[in-house]
Amino acid sequence: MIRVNNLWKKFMRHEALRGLTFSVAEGSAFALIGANGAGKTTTIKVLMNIIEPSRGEVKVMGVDSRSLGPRELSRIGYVSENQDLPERLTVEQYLDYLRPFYPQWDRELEASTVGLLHLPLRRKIGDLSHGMRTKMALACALPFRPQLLVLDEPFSGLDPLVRDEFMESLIQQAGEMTVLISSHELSEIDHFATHVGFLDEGKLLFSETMADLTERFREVRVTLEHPASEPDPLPSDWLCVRSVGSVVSFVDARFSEDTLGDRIRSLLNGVRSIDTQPMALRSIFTTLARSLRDDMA
Amino acid sequence: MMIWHIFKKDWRLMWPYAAGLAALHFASMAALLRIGRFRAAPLNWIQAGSLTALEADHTANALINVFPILSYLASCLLLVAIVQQDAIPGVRQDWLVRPIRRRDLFLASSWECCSWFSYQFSPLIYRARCSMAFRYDSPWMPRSADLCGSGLACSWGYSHSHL
Repeated sequence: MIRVNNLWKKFMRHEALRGLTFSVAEGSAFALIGANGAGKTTTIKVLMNIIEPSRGEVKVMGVDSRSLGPRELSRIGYVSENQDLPERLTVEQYLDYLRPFYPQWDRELEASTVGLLHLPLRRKIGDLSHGMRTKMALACALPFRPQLLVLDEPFSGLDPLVRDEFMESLIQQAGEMTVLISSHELSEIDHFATHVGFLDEGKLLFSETMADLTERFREVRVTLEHPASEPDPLPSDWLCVRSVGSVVSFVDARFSEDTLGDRIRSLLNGVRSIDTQPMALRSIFTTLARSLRDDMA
Repeated sequence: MMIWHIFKKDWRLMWPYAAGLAALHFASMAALLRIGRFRAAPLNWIQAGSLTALEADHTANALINVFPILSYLASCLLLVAIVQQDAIPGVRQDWLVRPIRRRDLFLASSWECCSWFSYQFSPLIYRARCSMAFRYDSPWMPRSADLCGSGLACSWGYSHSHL
């Protein structure tokens, strides 16, 4: 559905994207995660042909992103917190306006989505709260059953109830379409995303399936028979290593059930017990972000 | 072709501007009627002694001169507002991610500008022609043109607000 190959984007002297390469398979839900300024929104804007890439190849639905036209856009839904909307139109008038542009618009689906999201049809867009506006943007992106749904930070500033409503609407249709989502709210997309790409300062550090990611990251807690000290040198795939009393804890970024015990015993003496815990996407993200920050420092 | 569709949406948004400009035309016409631009009758409030005839003439002339300037500025504002409805430059505009052809967008904006010009300026041209033809002998023709223009502006604003 999406193929990005060696994508670069420069704004004056600043390199916002540096050689991104990844692909989004049809029917998958790809989460683009990263800290503020990592390049998530820039990547999405390039994909949507809102800005042009400086270098590299981007294909969306088999078409070069620079050539995306009405035919492709009629099959792509886009929701962004930064979208300018006609403020003086009511929600109903805006839906009336959009309908003719999408030949496959489903009015029943529109009505059910509007109902599910509790949107006030007669209220002007300019009078809607931030959460309502985001929900309205979603309600405008779903009724034409897009093949690709692009969501740029859709949860920013939304309260938990609105997030739930948003995700509920999304999940109801997720099976039918490919979803590309950039978000900080990782707990929301933890159970939704099938693939994850981690961006840092314009570089993609990894892109893999959610199953692989959660499989290879483990929170490890080693209890020793004597006061603990960190091994020197530290293995590169041990992140956020801490030692308190006789306990050493770290995050293993290349976890393997079979080899972990031997590895730990080769680096630490007097191992009494090893305890491993799977990690949620949010914990993986904060670990990686913290580790990168420490490396830079 | 989605030109008419885009046109309708823009007029829904622009009608307050159109109504404002129509009000300006009305005010202009009312001022002309009040000061008796087309006939030499003095104003009631001059007769009441608040101003001398000479002062009144200056004030009236100044007032009459202000309205075309205001009208011109308001027209410029309206044109800018029309063009800015779906601005080409920028990265946040909604139309960028919608299946809307740039050609349709451009034609719709052009149509809006042309229709605005035509209905704003045709009464003015008509009035000028009447004024020349009757050399102010018959004051009602220019006034009827003013009324026609303002009425037209109002009806456009009103009808488009209900498109």
